[in-house]
Amino acid sequence: MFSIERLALIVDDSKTQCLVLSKLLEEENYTVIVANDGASGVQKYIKHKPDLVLMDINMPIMNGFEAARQIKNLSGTNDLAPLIFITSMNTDQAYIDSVDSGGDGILVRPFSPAVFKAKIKSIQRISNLYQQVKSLQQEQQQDAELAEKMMSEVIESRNYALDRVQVIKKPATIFSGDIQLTALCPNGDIHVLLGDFTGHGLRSSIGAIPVTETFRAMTKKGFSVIDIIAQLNKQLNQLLPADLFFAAGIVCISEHEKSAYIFNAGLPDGYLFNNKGKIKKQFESTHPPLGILPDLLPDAKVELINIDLSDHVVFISDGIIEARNEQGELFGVERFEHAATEGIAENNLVSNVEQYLATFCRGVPQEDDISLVAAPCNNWLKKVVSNRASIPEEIYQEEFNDKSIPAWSWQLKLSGKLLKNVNPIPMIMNQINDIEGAGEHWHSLYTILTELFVNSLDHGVLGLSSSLKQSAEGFSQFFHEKAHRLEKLDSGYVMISLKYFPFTGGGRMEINIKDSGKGFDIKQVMQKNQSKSMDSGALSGRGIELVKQLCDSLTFVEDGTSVIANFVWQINQ
Amino acid sequence: MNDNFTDFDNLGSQSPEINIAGIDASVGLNNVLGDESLFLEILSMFYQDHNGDGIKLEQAISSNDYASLKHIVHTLKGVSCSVGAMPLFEKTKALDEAINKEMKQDYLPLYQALIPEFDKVMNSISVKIINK
Repeated sequence: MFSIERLALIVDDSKTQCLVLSKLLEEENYTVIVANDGASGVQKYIKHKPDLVLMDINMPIMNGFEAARQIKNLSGTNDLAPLIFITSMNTDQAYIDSVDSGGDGILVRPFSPAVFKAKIKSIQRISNLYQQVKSLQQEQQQDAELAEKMMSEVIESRNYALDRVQVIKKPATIFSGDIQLTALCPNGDIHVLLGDFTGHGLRSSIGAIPVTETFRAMTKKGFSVIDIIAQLNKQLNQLLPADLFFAAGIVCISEHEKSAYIFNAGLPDGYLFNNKGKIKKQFESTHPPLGILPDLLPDAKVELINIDLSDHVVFISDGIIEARNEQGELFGVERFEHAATEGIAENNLVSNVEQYLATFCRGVPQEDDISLVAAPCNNWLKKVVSNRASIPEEIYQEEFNDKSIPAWSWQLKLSGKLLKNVNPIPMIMNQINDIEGAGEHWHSLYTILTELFVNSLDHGVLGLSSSLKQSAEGFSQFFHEKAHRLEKLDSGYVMISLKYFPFTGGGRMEINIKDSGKGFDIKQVMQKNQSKSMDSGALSGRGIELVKQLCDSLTFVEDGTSVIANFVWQINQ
Repeated sequence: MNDNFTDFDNLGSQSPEINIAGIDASVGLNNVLGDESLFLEILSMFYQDHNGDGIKLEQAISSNDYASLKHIVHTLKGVSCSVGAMPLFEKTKALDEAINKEMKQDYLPLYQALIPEFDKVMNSISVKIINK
């Protein structure tokens, strides 16, 4: 270390002294620059950034103490040039003043070269240590920033509809223990999650990646909110240390059903605001944070609510309401609600809440991560009409006909209680992805399968009347009745069969779903649905119309207890 | 404090050529790590920068210019120590201490005690180095 040449600045109005000190410093491998008064000493310090400063006390223009003060102010925390006062003032006051002005040491004349050398060595040793700590800290900071950047890349940048879901994300340190996730379900619903790991910083952010992966993968495969929550809970329970857990709010917004499914595990209340900023509903936490219990509580269930398409669902982390001002007061729920109401009404929720927070806290350092996520309830439905494809005539003639043998077939029959607990659609989609590979076109297939399965279960096995679904309120009633009948279900079945016929540049999936229900008057129902779909306000029957649009053919047989659908996909559709 | 110098007594005995009245060459040389030519350079710089200090001190005392007096004495004290003019160092130190304690009645007598030693050193440098 001492073989490296360093730069020393001597500030002394006596040229003789400068010369003597220069000799001693050169012997210690220093290059020396000289200033003959305090003011030019400060200037030379700025210009040359020396590794060491030797400072006389009594000097014209600016004395040593003042020059030292200015130099130490300039040094900041990024570099430390040790500053030693060299003086013949052997008084207590000189010692005190030299320390007060920022000096790192004092050498009183007369001193021998050996004492001088020892002093320089000791002060340099401290400065070396400081530099080492500083550079380690810088390295660590750079590593952390890089890691954080990559993590955000994995987490936030892959979120769905970043332009439509509004987010506040203010980590207390580099790493955030809060995450905001959005993903699109295969049927066009949207899942939004706000999560808050205990504490903040790197330790709190390690769970973010597995949570993100699970949330995305399960949403994409069509799992419901409760399935995802249960899986996240199990995963975090196994993964996280005992003192680390995950408060989370998750909402599934179904524009199609004009409803939202909400689960709040340990977050502050979530909100449903109308477009005027009025709070229509609050969703309090109904479950302990995830990762504490090995399984969800037996009575854990999602809350189903009716929404207007102009509504907003908002989740916040406790960092917002527990933000403090100088007097130690909390920002609190009331201030948040006021800021949010005003913000939504003025169409600037994020900036309004941020501004209220900033005005309240007035630069008091943030203790916890602050975050908010706000999702609008409309414009999620994709236009699906144009997706429909038929098998081209020439391919039909060349590659297959009615006697073709499928490339593969698959069948599942679910009976009795299993119908309550098992959602077969993600399983089927998994099979298809495993055999045929993933692809955008399977999203439509997902919608078809979901609609047909739900139809068979609801109206076939459970015998529910779709007339309940005429209004938004009835929709909720319908779901309560469904839950009730499912609870009691111990007989009945739904059987799903798939046959796949690939052709060059595409394929045809033949879907047959059969249920144990009583069936229905096919002609009458289809006519009713058609007339209803003209009226966009009606909620029931829209599912089947959607399926009809997506399929090449859709036929109800066996008195409505069995349905056969043909889905065709083709490249360049 | 002066104990620091005892270890280096033998250095001086190796350089008998530099023989200035009132200057312990062993101390002065030791302060520049035995570099004789540098020591000579320093001595001539000392002469050039401080030869007029005797008159300046007298003027400062007679005109009650204590700020100048303090500055001149303080600097001269430090430099005389560095060049090894130890008796001069002791006398400037006594005056410096009186100034720090603002014992104004002592300024003139201490100055008068200092000036013969000052003249001795400056004259000797003048003869042995400057006009050699």
